[in-house]
Amino acid sequence: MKPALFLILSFLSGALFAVGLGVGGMLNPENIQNFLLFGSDRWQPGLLFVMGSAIAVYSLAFIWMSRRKKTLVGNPYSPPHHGRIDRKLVLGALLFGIGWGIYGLCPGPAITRLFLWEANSLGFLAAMFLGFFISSRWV
Amino acid sequence: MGIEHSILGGIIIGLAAAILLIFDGRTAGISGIAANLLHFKKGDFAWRLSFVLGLGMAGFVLSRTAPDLVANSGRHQTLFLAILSGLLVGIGARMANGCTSGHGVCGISRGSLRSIVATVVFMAAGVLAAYGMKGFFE
Repeated sequence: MKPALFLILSFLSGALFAVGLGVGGMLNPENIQNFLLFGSDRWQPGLLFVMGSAIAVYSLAFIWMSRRKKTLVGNPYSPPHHGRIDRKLVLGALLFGIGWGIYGLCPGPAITRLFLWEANSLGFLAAMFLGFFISSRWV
Repeated sequence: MGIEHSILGGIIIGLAAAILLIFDGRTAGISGIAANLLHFKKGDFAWRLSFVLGLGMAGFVLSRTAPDLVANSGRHQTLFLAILSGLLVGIGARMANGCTSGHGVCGISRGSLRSIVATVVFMAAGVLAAYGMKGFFE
């Protein structure tokens, strides 16, 4: 694919992703925190429906590509190999989940808040990138 | 926020992620897309930046056109906790090689057992952390 076209598609994908997060209420940490307070009087199922419908749509796209074996621009497509379930995966998910539950932000919503210039969101983002760096260097 | 908004939001997210898949066979894992910006690899940098700018600029437009969608009424929103949380999210997402989007949406859709395990673990850890915050600060 022409690089310029893919840049435009990447931008559109990111922008649409942000709109979806917003419409689904996932940009507000309160909705994440309430979802995670499973079993309490604050519990809200919103995230479950957001994730469920996103999975429904993406599954169809995946099934389509798996059968076609070619992307829309004609490059070969094969599904990624399923890796092993190891300690690093479980420990990483554990740390990720704790961080997520403390504040109610994950990478998508945090980046979507970038240009709102909020001190806290910028602090979160800077720390997240530091975490990426630490992880790629030492873990 | 009603269930219909959640479903509509999810459909939009699914379509957004599908764009990268159907045109170029890529996975819309946001932590992976963002983290690999740090490697400045030629030919693999611009599309990542483009995706991240798409997220950020749409967020800005939302804040001007539909401020309710970017409202923050979360609890415990202090700078210290934001930084602590961001650090754990960053380290954890790279160790697990994915986050809510890459594992929770794309991976589960592909039937990846790794992604199912990661999602169950981070959800369970999130529940514990949310209850921990509630117990400690309230």
